[in-house]
Amino acid sequence: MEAMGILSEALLSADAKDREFEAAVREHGGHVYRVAQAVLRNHHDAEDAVQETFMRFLRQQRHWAEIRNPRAWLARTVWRVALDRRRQFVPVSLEDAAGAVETLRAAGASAEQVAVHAQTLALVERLISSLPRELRDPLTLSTVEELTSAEIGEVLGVPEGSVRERVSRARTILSEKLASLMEKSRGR
Amino acid sequence: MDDKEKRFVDELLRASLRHYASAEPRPGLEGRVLAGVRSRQQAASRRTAWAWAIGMAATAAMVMLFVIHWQRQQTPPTSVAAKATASDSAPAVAKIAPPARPTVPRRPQRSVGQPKVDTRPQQFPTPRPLSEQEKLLLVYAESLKASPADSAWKADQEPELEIPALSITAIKIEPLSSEESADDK
Repeated sequence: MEAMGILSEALLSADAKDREFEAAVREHGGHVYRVAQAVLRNHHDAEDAVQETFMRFLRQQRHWAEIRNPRAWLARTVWRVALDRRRQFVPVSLEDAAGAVETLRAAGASAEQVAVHAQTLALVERLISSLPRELRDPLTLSTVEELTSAEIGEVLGVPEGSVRERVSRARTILSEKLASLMEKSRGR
Repeated sequence: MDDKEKRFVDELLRASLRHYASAEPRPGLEGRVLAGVRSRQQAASRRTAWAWAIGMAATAAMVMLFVIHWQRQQTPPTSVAAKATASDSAPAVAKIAPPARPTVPRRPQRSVGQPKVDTRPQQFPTPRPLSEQEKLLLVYAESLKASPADSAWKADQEPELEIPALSITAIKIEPLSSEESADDK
């Protein structure tokens, strides 16, 4: 009888763990995907990274109780998985991309309209990849809206204040580079 | 660059960064992730089951080998004669049974302490008794051996040579004349 009790308890526990895992996938799947997408810039690679991340999460089920913030834990894991899978971006000519942005602006498009354009995204991607790593990593993670500075700091292992300062510096550099490129393309 | 330009660049950058990671996953991401994780889990459990099965089979084989080896060491060696007497005394039913495999007589084991005895012959090649033909040849040779009568007959046949006593006369040499000696010069 006692053995049966232990067995049924174990089955119930396994069932509960299964449901807990499903709930975690449903709750954090999108967020994990966006972090992967921010790093990998590719839909298929991002989905693979999400699957690998949740596989690692499942392997850690004995330690779930010790994980205080599952969202931050998942963000840190997917960040590492994605970095391992990151490939070189397709090289884009900065001058050509800046010229396309300038053309759109001259045609009367708003900043928001220009931003969603593929050429603009390629240009921003290229500019971010040219940043030094200590600035690039916090800026990349800051583009994922759900992540706070504290969580970014937890993922990267740096203090929250440093994250804010690095993101600010990275934005300033990007802004200067973008302005310079656009000015050049206007002068041509 | 004027303020308007600067403002546009700032807005553009803010909007671009907002769109940078705003890509939404295709519908059904959760289902795909769950299905993928489960299939990977099943594959892992299959691998584990195989590893266990192979391990158990290997262990069972090792145990069987050990038992067989141990049994062989325990059973005393039975001789053919002992088996024969056993089969004679066994009831008739037992005789119908297939004959047991004859045991190969074991080589006598050499004891470590026993001194070695040199069995080699003193002479090589080993002398053998004469064959029949050799004996006949020997008899014939014996018959040919000279008898005392034969030797007397041989003496008669070869008469002794008479050698007369030798006498050697002294050599006379005349002295040389003076003329002959001058000619020689």
